[in-house]
Amino acid sequence: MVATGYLFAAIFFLGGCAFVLGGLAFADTLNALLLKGRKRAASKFDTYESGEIPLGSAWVQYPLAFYIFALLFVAFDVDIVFILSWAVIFQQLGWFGFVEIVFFIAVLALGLVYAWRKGVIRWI
Amino acid sequence: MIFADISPFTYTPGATDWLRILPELILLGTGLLTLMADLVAAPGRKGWLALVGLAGVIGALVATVMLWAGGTYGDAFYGMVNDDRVALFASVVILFAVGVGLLFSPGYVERQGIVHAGEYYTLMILAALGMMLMSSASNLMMLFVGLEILSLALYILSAIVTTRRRSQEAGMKYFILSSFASAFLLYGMALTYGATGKTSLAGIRAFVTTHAFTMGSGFGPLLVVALGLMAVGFCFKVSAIPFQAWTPDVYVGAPTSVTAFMSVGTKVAAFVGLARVFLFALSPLRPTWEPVLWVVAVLTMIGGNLLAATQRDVKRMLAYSSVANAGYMMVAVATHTQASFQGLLIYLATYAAMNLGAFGVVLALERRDGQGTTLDDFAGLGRRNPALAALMALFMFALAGTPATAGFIGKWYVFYAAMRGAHVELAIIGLLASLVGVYYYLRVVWAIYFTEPATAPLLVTADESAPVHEPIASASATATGGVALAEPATATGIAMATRVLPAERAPVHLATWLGLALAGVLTLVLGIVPMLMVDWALAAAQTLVK
Amino acid sequence: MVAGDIAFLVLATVAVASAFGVVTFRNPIYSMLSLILNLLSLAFFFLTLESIFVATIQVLIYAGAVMVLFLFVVTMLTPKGGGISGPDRLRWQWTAGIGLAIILAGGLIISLLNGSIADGAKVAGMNGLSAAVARYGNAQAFGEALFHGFSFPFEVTGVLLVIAVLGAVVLSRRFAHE
Repeated sequence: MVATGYLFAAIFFLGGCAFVLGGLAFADTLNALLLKGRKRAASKFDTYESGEIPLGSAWVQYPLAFYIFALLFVAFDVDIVFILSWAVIFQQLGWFGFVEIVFFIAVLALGLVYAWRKGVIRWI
Repeated sequence: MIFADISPFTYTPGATDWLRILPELILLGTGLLTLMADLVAAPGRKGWLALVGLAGVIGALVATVMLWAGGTYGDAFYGMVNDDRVALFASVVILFAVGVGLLFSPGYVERQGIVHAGEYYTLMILAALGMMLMSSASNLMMLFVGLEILSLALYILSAIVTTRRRSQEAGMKYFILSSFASAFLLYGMALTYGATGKTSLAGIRAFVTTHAFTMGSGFGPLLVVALGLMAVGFCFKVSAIPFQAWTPDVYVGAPTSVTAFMSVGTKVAAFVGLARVFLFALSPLRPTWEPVLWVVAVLTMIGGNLLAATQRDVKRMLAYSSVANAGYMMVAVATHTQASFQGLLIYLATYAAMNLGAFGVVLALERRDGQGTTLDDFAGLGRRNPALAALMALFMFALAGTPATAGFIGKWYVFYAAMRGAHVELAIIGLLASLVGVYYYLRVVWAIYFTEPATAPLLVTADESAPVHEPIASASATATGGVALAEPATATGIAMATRVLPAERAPVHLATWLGLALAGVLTLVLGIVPMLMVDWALAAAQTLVK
Repeated sequence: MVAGDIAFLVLATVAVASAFGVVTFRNPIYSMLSLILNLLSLAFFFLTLESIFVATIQVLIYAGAVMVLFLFVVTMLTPKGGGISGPDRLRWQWTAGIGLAIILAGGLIISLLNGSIADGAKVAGMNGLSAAVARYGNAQAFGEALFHGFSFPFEVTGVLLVIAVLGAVVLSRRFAHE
């Protein structure tokens, strides 16, 4: 069974995409026919960097610290999902649910304390 | 509950549920305690964390024994885990393995200069927790979570020697290949759920028993695909051929204390998990999975033994020997009788004692650079260190299956059950394969007592002992260098070092001695008076295989 | 329901094509982008199954957080825009892999044609759960199942996350004080 509401949303989404892409294609064609200069220059193929001249490639090695942050973020992001699903029904769950979530958060908090004390949270 | 009228989930755990997982709770508490204690411990002085861990392990062991003595068992937490005899038997073996692993650790961690000593102990304990959860799971979901906990902890433990490339390489290889296997297992579990609508093992068994099962129609094809995928996953985790490729590199590259622990603990958890799924839940589908496991068992026994026989590095030989032993255990699974499952449990217990001991001796001989474990290094050990030599000889004889040692008891019960269970051919192949085993195990004993140390200077790589600053990408290059070390003539680009004289070897740590003694005593006791353990294994087998 | 079938066909095509892209692109960034597309189409699948909550999580966790992690790993390991270059050394694995994939797909197609999905698995999780979804909403039913039925695996997942944090710290620093 497909929720028809979402189907409508999907159709609107596709329609929106088509509108924007079609408009762009139309404008580009118009541009190419009427306005665009015929001359090819090296500067036309540069990356546009708000007027700056781009330095080097965007493909560089990021420091390891980014990676650790991303990993910690994932760990606690998963945490959020569980807490959210608890929060929407915490009244029905009562004390048992409360103890459960506190236990869960406590375990993760120990992980956070550990990471903190090891100096992971500090920006290099 | 407000949803009580329409939701099936109204379950709220009571005191019994918590009591049934008391050993796991103690272990979890200990793990988190060591994690916090690491933050206050002075750097370089973290040996006492092993003591904290050991106390927790002993506590969990006491709780396990109490649960066994209590006599009542059943599901806990909505049928997620249980504390039946199988779970408790496996728990005892796992706790023994982690206990001995912890005893091996302080001296080794210090000698290898492992900087993350605190995390090391925490991960050991949490890995054991994962193993216990996996072997006591009564739901596919719990089985998988337990497996992931133990795997994740072991990936990190394998790579924890951050200054040694081979350790990093081991962690990397284990992680990539093992996550692949986990994915296979998970896919198989998902399809099993699709075919049966259940994730609880008892529910799956009930469904498979009551529904028609044919290849042509109904649930047949889906369950066959699921069976195949789960078999791949489990065979990888127990390192059965053809999924053994990771085993030697990971076992050699990982810290030896970790190798000792994981070679035993992972096997216990994975084989008990395999037994719960195949021998219990999917037992009615036996005609489908039996041929597959039969082939795997034969391949693993023959291949593992032949590969082990060609090794000159004792640590690597023991890695392949653990592959071969997985084959013997697979015989017990393929036979699928109550007696064979009893044999499997006995084999796991005896294997734990002797394999931990063998890796322990290797660990005692290993030098700071991770070398010093080849047959040449064992030459003349009988004179240099008689006690260590005698222990190694005992473990080698036990692994070879000599009567009056634990190894004989394990092999006897597995092969006897195979013969009684209409698998005489498996027993014969197993016996022939273990004859090859006798050759390579006793070759170590020969080296210890009847050869002299080579006069050629021992070779030490210049870069292996120094901290590594290169990225992991170059690790494979070092690995080939590491293999070449076993053949001094071909080793190029290696700095000559002064000969390491016997006196210069690091003294064996007291805790390591204790662990070795424990493993040695158990190897003898289980070999000479095994009846108590045999009875326990029978009691355990009766709860799972009717 | 024609509209639903069309939605399914479109999504399925996108999902399969993007999954194929993940393994065939030789530039890891392209692989990753196509994985994001794949995860998004999975999220839409969940939507068509009326699992709003799971769809949201799919976008948040997988298409969001996990892909950021992947991106950092890829950019950390592959500088200078270099994908895999040189001849493909895994030719025979390709052949074997495609053969096995065909067998797997065949098995799955046969079982679907046989109608071998158990009734218990058809009713959105478990018997009666779909009723709870209809009456109380998605996230609530999910929470109910998580905190009553599956409370134990849920708690244990916390341990798993702590191990992941430990692993990040241990593996990323070579020395004690760095």
